[in-house]
Amino acid sequence: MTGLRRVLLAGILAIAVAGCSSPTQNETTTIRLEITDTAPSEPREEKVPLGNLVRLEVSSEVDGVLHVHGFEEEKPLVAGETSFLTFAAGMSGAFEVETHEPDAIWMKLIVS
Amino acid sequence: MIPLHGIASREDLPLPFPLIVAAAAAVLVVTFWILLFAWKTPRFRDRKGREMPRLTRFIDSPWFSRPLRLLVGALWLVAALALVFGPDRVDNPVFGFVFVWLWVGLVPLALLFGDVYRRTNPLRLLLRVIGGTASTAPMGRISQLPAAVALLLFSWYELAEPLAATLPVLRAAAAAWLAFVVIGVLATSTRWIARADPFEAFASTVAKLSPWSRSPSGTLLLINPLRNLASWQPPRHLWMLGCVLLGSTLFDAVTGAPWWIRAFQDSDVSSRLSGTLGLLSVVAAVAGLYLLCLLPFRQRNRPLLRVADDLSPGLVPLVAGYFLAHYATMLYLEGQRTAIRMADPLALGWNPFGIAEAGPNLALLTMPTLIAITQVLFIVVGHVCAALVTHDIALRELEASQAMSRQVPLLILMVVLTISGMLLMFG
Repeated sequence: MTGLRRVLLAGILAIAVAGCSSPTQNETTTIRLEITDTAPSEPREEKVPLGNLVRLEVSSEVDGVLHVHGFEEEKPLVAGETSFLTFAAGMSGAFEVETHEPDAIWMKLIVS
Repeated sequence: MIPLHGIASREDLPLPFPLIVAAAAAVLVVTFWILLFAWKTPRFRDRKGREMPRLTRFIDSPWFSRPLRLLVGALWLVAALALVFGPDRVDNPVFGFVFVWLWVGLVPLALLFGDVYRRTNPLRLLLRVIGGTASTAPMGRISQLPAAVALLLFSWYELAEPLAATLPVLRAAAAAWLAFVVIGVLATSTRWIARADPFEAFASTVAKLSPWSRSPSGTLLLINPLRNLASWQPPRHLWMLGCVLLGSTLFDAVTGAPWWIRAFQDSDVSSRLSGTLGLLSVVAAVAGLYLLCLLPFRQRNRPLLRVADDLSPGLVPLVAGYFLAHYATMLYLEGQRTAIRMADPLALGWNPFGIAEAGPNLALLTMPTLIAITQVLFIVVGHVCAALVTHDIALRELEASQAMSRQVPLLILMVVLTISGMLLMFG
């Protein structure tokens, strides 16, 4: 039994070491997004390196609120104006960027 | 602001394809190794383990059980306050309480600590005067059908009802759940809680895969989890409960797949209808395939549904593995957010522990490779446990030579379910 345990422990350690790729860089990824009054048939995907800053430049044809899921960032949008939202991509995963009224998913941020 | 979205705000990254290929290969090899070379006589028929009399006295003493029950009851009370008086926003902690702490949290809780949910079930505390908290006799072969139906309804609510994360709809659902359990208890007996409360039935089922059991005299046993599960005399219709849980978790993965979103984001079919039909068809497909693969086990004195019950414990590790693989990171992230929100259930600016400004710890989520490997391990280990338990149970009624060939369809189904589960997470 101890042999099995040792193998298990070694396996877990190996996984932990493999998983610890450290996010170091803190560069900014700028993404432009245009909000119209009709939802896209498919949200576009944008890749962001883990640990980067994300700067969204959102030009909107409608009033509303932009919401970045997971990071729980929100930005009011005014028709005809460009809004900016900056946040740190501090966790991996896929996050939807959506607006309310019109309810639509515009983009999927892939942080990895 | 009202995000009209469910509680899950983050999806895991798709699993890397080489990892899936490696895991699928491992699943195939191990499954057929079990079939061909594992033990040929049943091993886990008897419930035996290390007796823990002192621990039993401590766990069963009122000094432990009452404060535990009251503590958990107090958490439920906070959630109930938020449900009744809190704001109708997705940051109302009741949503996280129900969909994260309760629904997802009960699986790791049951796996680690056994049948805790039954001992802290708030409905039992509520029904204390009529014996809700009395220690129950073993379940025997009573039917779990009411719980399977309730779990299907809960899954439907969570996965197919677009307004699930709005307060009036959740209030109605909570009232329906309360009425279903309480009226059932009043009409029958307190045994109804174990058969019908979806959360207790789910938790008690998963607890059979924990290292904790009880001897016939009531002493706590530290036991091999596989033996714990395989020596269980499962209640009737447990296979339905297993298929509901397996099917709904698979369906949750389907709705996250790009082709599903593409098909339904803009379509004329309402999301409620597509969700309902999708969920029902996945659950029905899982149940149908399960029964189909059990046909070889039928005997003259052993009809199909009896076989389905007998072998149903083998579904439990599959369910637990899927569940953890799909929801562990959500439990980690949203579980923390729920804890922070629970401190201010009515959004009045309370800050009792100074945690209002705290953000969730994200350390685990900065390690995508570790997350992916852990997810695959959950699924693979769940699959292997399921195959071992199924193998052990299959050997009981049959000669070893018969048992081997008759298990093949069921094991293939498990392999297919496991690999398709991983492919869905590959996205």
